[in-house]
Amino acid sequence: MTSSESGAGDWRLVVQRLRHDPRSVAAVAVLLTMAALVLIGPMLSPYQPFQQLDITHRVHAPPSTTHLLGTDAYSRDVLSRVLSGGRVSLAVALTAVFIETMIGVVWGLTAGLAGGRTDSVMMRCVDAGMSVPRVLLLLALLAAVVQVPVWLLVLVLGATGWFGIARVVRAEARVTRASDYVLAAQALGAGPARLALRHVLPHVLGPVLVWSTLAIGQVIVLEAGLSWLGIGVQPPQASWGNIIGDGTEFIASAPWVSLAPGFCLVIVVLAVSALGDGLRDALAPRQLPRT
Amino acid sequence: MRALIQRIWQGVLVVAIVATTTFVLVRLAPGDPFAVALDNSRITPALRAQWRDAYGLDGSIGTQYMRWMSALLQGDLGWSVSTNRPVSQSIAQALPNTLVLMGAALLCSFTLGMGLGAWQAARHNRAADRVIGAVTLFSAALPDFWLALVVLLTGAYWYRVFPVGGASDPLLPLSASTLTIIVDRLTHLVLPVCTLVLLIAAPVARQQRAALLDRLSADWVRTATAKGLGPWQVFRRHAWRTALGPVVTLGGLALPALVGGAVFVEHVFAWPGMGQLAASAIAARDYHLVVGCVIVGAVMVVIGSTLADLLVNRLDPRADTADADRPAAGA
Amino acid sequence: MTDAKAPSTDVVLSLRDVRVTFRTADGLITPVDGVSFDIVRGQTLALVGESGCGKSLTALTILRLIDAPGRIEPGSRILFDGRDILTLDDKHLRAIRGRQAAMIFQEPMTALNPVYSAGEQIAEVVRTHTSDSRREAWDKAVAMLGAVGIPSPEIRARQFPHQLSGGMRQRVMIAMALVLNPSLLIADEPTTALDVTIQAQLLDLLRDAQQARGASMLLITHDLGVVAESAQRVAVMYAGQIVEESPVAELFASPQHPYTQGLMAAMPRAGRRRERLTTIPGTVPPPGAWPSGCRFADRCAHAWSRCTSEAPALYQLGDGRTSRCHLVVEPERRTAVRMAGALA
Repeated sequence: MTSSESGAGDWRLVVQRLRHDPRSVAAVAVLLTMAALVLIGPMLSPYQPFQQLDITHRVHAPPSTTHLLGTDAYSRDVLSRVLSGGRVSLAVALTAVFIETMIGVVWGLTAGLAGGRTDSVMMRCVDAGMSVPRVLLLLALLAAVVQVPVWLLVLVLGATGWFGIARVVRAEARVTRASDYVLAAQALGAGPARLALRHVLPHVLGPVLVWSTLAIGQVIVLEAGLSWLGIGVQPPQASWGNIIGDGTEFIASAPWVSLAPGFCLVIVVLAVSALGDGLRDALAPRQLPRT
Repeated sequence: MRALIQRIWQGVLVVAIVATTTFVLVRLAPGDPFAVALDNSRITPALRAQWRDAYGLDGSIGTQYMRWMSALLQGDLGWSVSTNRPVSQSIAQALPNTLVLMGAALLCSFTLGMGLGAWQAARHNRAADRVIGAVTLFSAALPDFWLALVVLLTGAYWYRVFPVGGASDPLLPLSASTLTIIVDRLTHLVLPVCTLVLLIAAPVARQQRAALLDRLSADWVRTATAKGLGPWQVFRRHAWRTALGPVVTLGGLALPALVGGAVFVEHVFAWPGMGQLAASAIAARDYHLVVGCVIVGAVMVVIGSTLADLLVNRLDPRADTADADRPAAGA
Repeated sequence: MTDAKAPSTDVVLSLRDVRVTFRTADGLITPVDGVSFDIVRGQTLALVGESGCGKSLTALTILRLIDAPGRIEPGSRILFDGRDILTLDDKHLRAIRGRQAAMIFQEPMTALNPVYSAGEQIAEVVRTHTSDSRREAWDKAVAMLGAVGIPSPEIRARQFPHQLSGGMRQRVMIAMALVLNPSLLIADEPTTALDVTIQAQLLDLLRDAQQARGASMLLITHDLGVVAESAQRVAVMYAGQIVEESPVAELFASPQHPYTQGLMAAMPRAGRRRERLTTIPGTVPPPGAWPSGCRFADRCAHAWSRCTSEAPALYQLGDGRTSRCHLVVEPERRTAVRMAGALA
């Protein structure tokens, strides 16, 4: 995507293209449904997610009319847990992606507009960050803490994921910095903050939006994996990852415990990826193939 | 050559960063770095004092760091409290198993992925292309640990075809024939490899398809046809051969994700490799073992991606343009 | 379609009424619409025209290098050394490609495979058509590189296209085309992508190589200067058709077709009084929108009612000249338009 293809004034056009793309429409529908379910569902459910209902009789009950998704090892209703866990998983993912987007955009803008040595040093950090395997870094960072608080999880996720977007933003900032009309603006006394906000940011919003959308999918899976291992969201607070974790031991006898949250994960990730692709296409429509 | 040295240097830097980060965290953690081991009654106060001395905890943060780094370079990764032996020993035992699993997975997934991608390119925009395309897209959305669970469920429980976990059957008599042993090992390998293949083959197929479609319309393909080469030769030497670069590059870039994913897959299948070791170390809060695994994992990634880069250089001579001869002036 | 001459025994290539269609989103277009010409052994025919007139496509049809959604229409005939290319089976077609008829493409950076060395790509042609060993083919490749004027050919043969300059790459392409001594060379704008100085060198090279081997050449170009240098006969193409064909000297001395006259007038010439460059008003019609009468009518200074209603045939003018223009049969219709340097 080049700066010439995404102007700030074209947003209406973008939305229109999105509306006409069946894949994006479906994705948004799925995500809104999921959001509604996790927000409203726990309030409507007759069971509490932490409530151990009947430890003697209702442990690992298969799905039935009373428990749509069955119960788990502690006789808790799986559906309630999945819905409440959905809140946590989605909230963690959205917050973490917000954090990493902020960090990445600010880092990239600063590096790109500053130029010179500052730029060089800042981008070296980005290179280093990108070459470290994220999962390993997360393991190292979180395994040290005995009980991982949710805020730390969000922070750590956010702090390890901003390298890619920083690169993109910095590239865009560099291009803009060299353009003639920015030089003119500078000659008229525009300071760096103004330059960043008025001239670079509009061009960057498009790719940032696409990247963030796709990042949500990545982060939600990461959080699930970490929670599954035990260094993410801590029980009894539910998250899709640790519910799968609870069910792993009993995968043969009570598969519904793990399968249900897993399906939810897959659906959300698919929807988010489809939306990201749709956004990418809407922002920069593909050229017709050469004959 | 210059580029190779630069890559190696970058890799060393990465490992150093990871090691330093873990060091910082161990020291930053509030309280005694060995607090995690407090509950373990096997650690006597005398032993703890010995550690303190060995790790130089009495010195400044600078000397501690130096000690840490020098110990690392000598291969001393500390003591694992959960397995009660040096971390390096635990890792040395687990590493070969991970390498076997990774090797098999990479081999199968690249073969499958490249084959699928090539077939898709040949059947561009027809039914087969679209179907495979949808499947690879779907595959990319699957969380690795969940897929592992599903594969385990279908392959070992619902249809009792494959063993539930581990790398070999512990009950196999010592007198069993070599063939039986090999078959046993292979059947244990199937499910985890399948999981990894499902995860890796998809992006490989997508990349191969995109690269091939791009190369098939290249001018040099037309030149090759104009020279009188048959269709298979044209495809193999001029389209497919030039599309290999991006696929190998993808492999190199995907290594970090692969190593990360191995943690989950090995844990699910109880495969006695590094991933499993890391997972159980996390559960036991055996921090030194976790750190050891992380560092070795980082080293593996660095070695792997350097190898991938080398391979790309062999495949596409344009990659290492820093070293290319300058074209002579004039025609 | 008038037959310009009966095919004689020393004609290497003969195109008759060649038509190429493309299926596009907007319908069927015919970028090559009834092209006919002959090339005599040892001779060079230049095919001249602006971009989009169909000359490159014509060149590609000779070796059947047109892919879907393009199609060579059934009424076309292409005879190479007396054999009909269009009905040949694949095996025999491949035997001709690269060996008896070879192509030189326009853009050597993309026309050469980036992952094989120059020598390997030349040797590939040799090994495809002969039973030479790798060593023998390689030696021939190196020798050929030397023959096309590349210094230190043994070293250059091991280098890759991105390590060579533009001119050198094109020499490699020429070497690849000449190595098996083809009787026909098809050069599609071989020097367009290169500097003017290198252009002259390469054209000399091509001419010398061709004469030494007694080969014929079809030279595609948009540059009339190149035509004057290298060809014996010229065919001018416009909007998918040949509008004038003539020996070179006569074309430059007295161009007949108004389009050719326009091209000549538009050529900047050194040593003349400084004046504005003349241009031909209007633009080339796109292949999907051929008008039904003469395709040049709306840009022609002499056009009258017959021109827009009736498409002119390729009229013969004697002395081996033809022109697709009604002025041939109604010369009195020629208006007194003064164009610098050309007959009005």
